[in-house]
Amino acid sequence: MFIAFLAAFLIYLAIDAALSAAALYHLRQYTMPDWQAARLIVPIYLALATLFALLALYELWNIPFADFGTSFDLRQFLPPAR
Amino acid sequence: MIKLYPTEIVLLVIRRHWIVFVAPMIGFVIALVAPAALLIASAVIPALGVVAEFAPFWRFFYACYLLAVLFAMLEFWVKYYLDAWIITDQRIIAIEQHGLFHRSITEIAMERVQDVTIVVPGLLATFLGFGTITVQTASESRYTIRHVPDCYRAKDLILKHSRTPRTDVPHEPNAQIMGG
Repeated sequence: MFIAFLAAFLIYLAIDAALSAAALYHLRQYTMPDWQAARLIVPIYLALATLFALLALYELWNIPFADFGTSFDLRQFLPPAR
Repeated sequence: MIKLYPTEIVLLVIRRHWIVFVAPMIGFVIALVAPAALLIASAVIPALGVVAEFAPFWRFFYACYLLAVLFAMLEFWVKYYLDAWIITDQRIIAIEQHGLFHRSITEIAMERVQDVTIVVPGLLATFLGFGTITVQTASESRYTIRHVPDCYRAKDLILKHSRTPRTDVPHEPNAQIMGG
């Protein structure tokens, strides 16, 4: 269960990173040299995004999958044994 | 990078008025606060026991959700920031950022500007001082930018420079281009 969540999270993170890179590339490519706000936003965004990504990873690590595993036993969805 | 001619001077960069931020910012604040409030309330209100039971999952999903909202805010701001009119002494560079991967750039030579119209639509626009500027060119094309702060100044500037005779404008296709 943990591995599945981790894989999904990493895919999500990769998509977010790709879109963020595209947005930041646009800021770099299509601004004039004296447009300072663009240069200010980039480190702020990167710091916040890294913080949230680390927070998500920390929370993922702290999910007690074993506890939930007992109450969500997948075997309950199997047909009854004869 | 936007390129300017060697002798070209940027007179004004027009971006939309801060009023365009109000509605999206309310949306972003609600989007950020509502799930956190639900998570906190679940610890107190017994009816929300289901949420409390899965609190570790919700905290993880909320952190992922924060990443998505942060990106949505960045995308909105990038669209706002790159959607601008750059008025120079030789031309108007009208940049329209429709989406992250969809933008259009129009260059209007100052001598082609025929009419400049401003519309201040309503009470709020009058008090906050924003309006719509429409530039009509000699080829009868119309270019419009909405929510322009200080639109009277922009109109005066465009009209002044569109009426100024120029001798040193590099019209040749091979004219030297420089950055900045």
